[in-house]
Order: sequence, then C-alpha cells, then structure tokens
Amino acid sequence: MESVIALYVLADRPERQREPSLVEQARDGSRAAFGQLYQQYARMVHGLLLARVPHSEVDDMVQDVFLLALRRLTSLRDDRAFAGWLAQIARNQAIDYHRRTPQTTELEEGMLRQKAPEPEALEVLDVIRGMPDAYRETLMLRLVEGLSGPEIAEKTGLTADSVRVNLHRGMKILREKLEGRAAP
Amino acid sequence: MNENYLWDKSGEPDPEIQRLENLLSPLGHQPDKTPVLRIPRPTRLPLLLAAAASLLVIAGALWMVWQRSRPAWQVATVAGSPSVKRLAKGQSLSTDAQSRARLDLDEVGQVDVEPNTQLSVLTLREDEQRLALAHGTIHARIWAPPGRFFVNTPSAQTVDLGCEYTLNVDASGVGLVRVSVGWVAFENDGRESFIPAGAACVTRPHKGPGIPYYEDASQALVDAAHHFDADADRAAIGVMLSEARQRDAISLWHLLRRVQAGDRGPVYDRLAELIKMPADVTREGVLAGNAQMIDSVWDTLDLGNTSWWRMWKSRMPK
Repeated sequence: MESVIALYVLADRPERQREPSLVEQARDGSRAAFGQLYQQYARMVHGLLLARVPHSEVDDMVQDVFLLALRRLTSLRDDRAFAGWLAQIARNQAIDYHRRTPQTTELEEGMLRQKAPEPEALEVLDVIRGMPDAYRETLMLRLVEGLSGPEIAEKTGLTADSVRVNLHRGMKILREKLEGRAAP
Repeated sequence: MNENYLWDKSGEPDPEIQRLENLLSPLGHQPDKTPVLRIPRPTRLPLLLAAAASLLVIAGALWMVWQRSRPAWQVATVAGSPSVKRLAKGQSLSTDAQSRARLDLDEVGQVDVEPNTQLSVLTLREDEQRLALAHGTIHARIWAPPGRFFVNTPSAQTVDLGCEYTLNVDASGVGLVRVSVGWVAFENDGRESFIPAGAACVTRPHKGPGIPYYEDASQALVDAAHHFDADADRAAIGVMLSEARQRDAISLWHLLRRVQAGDRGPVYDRLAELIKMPADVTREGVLAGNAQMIDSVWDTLDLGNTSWWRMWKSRMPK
C-alpha cells in the first residue's frame, strides 16, 4: 500500500499547551477567554485576510472571522486544531468576499478617516498578493504584521522548517519582482 | 540577504527587509486603532429554541436520533445536485459531469469534490477520518492534527498530516498529487518521494511513487520523468540531466536513488554541477549507494532535512 503523507505538523510548544484551556473556556461561554484568543490570533487573521482582500475591508472582516469562529466553536472537538481551523475560516471568508463582491479597483475608503497608506506600500502589497498562497501569507505575516518566523509557525500551525523555506523563497521572489518593476 | 534577520529579527538588520517593514507595517493590524471585538451577549431566545429542539429530538423516533447523532461530513452542493447532505460512515457521494460538492468537517478540513468523482467514507472517528476515492478528483485542505486524515485509492493510501493538495485518480488507478501548501511524501515499501509545494508526483499501481517534479519544469523533463517512472526508460535519464535547472535538483536526487548502479555516475555529476555537494559526501560513496551520503545531498537542497521528512513514519497507523 502506498502512502501520501503531508508534512505540516502541529508542534508541541509551551504556549500552544495553554490553548486548550482558553478554547475550552471560550466554548463554555467565557468572553474573557475568547478575548485572549482574539489578542493572540488577531494579527495572524489580519495578515491572512490582507493577503486576499482590499486593505480597507480587512479590519471589519477580522471581526467577522472571530464572531463566526465564536459561533462555530462548539463544533471544534480538538482544541489543538484551533489555529489552523481559525486560519481556514479567515481564508474562506476571503473567498466568500470575492464571490459576493464585484471585482473593482480598490478605493481606500479608509483614506477619508485616517492617514492614507503610502502608494508604494499598496504597490508592494499587490505584488505580494500576486504570489502563491504559501509565500504571500508568510511574507504578509512577516513584513506587514511584524511576526517573526517562529511566531508565524506558532500562530499558523506550520512547521518552523516550512515557514523558513517559505520566507526565504518568498523574499527572493519578492526582491526579483520589485527589481523588475523598478527597471526601466 | 541576512537570513537570521528575516527569520527571527536577530543579527544585523537587512536594509531592504527593514525598508519593507517600515513601509508595510502601517498596513498591519493596529490594536489601538481597531474597534474592540464586539462579542454579542447570549440571549434567552437561542436557549429556548435549543430546549424546544431538544424536546422535538427526544420525541422523535430512536433511529432518527441515532442517525442524526452520528458524526458526518457536511456536504454542500457547489454545482449540480449531489444526492446527500451529510456523509456518514459507510455512505458514498457520486458527482456527475455537472456536479461539484464541498465536504466540511470543522476539526479536520475541507474536501472539494470535482465532477465525475466517486467518494465514500470508510471511517469517521475522532482519531481517524478515512475516505475512499474510487475515481475522480478531490482538493483537500487539511488542518487536522497529524495522522488523522486518510484517503484510500485503488493504488495508494493517502495519509495527511495537514496541508493542501489535489489528488486525482484515473480509471486505471494511476494517482497524481499536486501540492499547493505544505509538503507531501509518497511512500511504498521503502520507496520514498518527497514533494514540496509547487511540485507534483505520479504513483502507479505495481510501480509505486514516481519522480516528483516542479510544475514549472520544462515539459521535456516532466515527460522524461513519466517515461522513466513507467518503463525505467534509460533514454529518459539523459533528457532529465540536460533539462534540469538548479531548482530541479530535487528530481535528480530522486533519480539518483532509482537508477541502476551503473547509471548513477552521470546523475551524480549533473547534481554536483547544480548544487554544492556537502563536505561529507564523496562521489564514490554515493555511487556505492551510501544512504547516509544520499540523505546528506538532500539536506543541501534547502527543503528541510531527511529526518524531518521521514517523521511521518512514526505517526503511521500500525
């Protein structure tokens, strides 16, 4: 019998070992526990969404993702899967956003109420969004959300080796693309 | 590029990475500017509804209770008309040429079922979820803890430790896995194929896993890999060697372990042109089939070391 084995392992880490109690408490109705989960994972969810939807939509969608997660938390039977489960809810919300929203040019509504993002920043964001999932998510979490490689591994459930490879290759591709854009 | 700084922000900051961080960080999550998460307070209405629902369930027939309480994949129709809404142990789902469906199990993942596919549930327990793919195509996104999700096919068993890939089985039982996130390994009786994101690999009945290749490799290299897998075609070796780019060293590494001893020399020489051989590796050792040296060559491919790739072996069901 042949076997296909996907290696994307939930490693045992001290912080991860505390999660079951938080998830369990949140499942039992503790708003404080869910608030702590929000604090721990909001940047990760923000980064995954920013890899897929316009910047102006992301803050509201982060809220939607966590509220959806709260409603569905009773169906999560293995607390150790929380990070990956939450990440997939974020990805699905982004997919649903594109299904229900006509494709338009991004107009930053947020510009009206806050400082406009640097045009170059939005350009770089577009370049990252054009990369394969594995690279754009990792780069977004590293460069935009400010997470280190070990933190990305911890928050997403990816192995450290996986994150390291994605960061290295993603950064190399990003440099090449940016240099290509800069060239006359 | 300063790898340490990119990885964990230690060491001398890389100026280009630092410039991008400064440029992009204002677009990141800003806790002080983001509205506080508004968690709705529970109301009595859901409790009353739940109580009413419970009474209805209790009043229902026992078989209905049993049926409903069984764990099951939730089936959402994406297109056409798959005939079931839940997929419990022993049940099957078939899609016709116009139908597509999405299977959802919260703590496990999602499986998109493409048209003309036949899929059934063999096992559905907390510690093991096993599907059987008779033919057709599925796209799996798995976030379950390691070693819980399995797909049986006519020629292979798929064991997933959590990643994203597409698996196709044709009418003759030939399987093709294409990996988009994470890593996948094929294994059959000690024959291993390691497949990173962006790569694909074929497995054939009675022959086992083939040589993986990046999907952006030249068509000539891909065709040669298929010819070698199917017929051990020696002419294909030369094509693979001449077509390989540095990135395709992964294909040549697998080729090195599959060719006859007499053909290892040219494969080693081409690999040595593409990658810097580690100090503990000698041409003579590799040609003699020294497994430790061949593993050491893999470790230079920057895809994680071989011991990491093989960790799934300790997680396989006995």
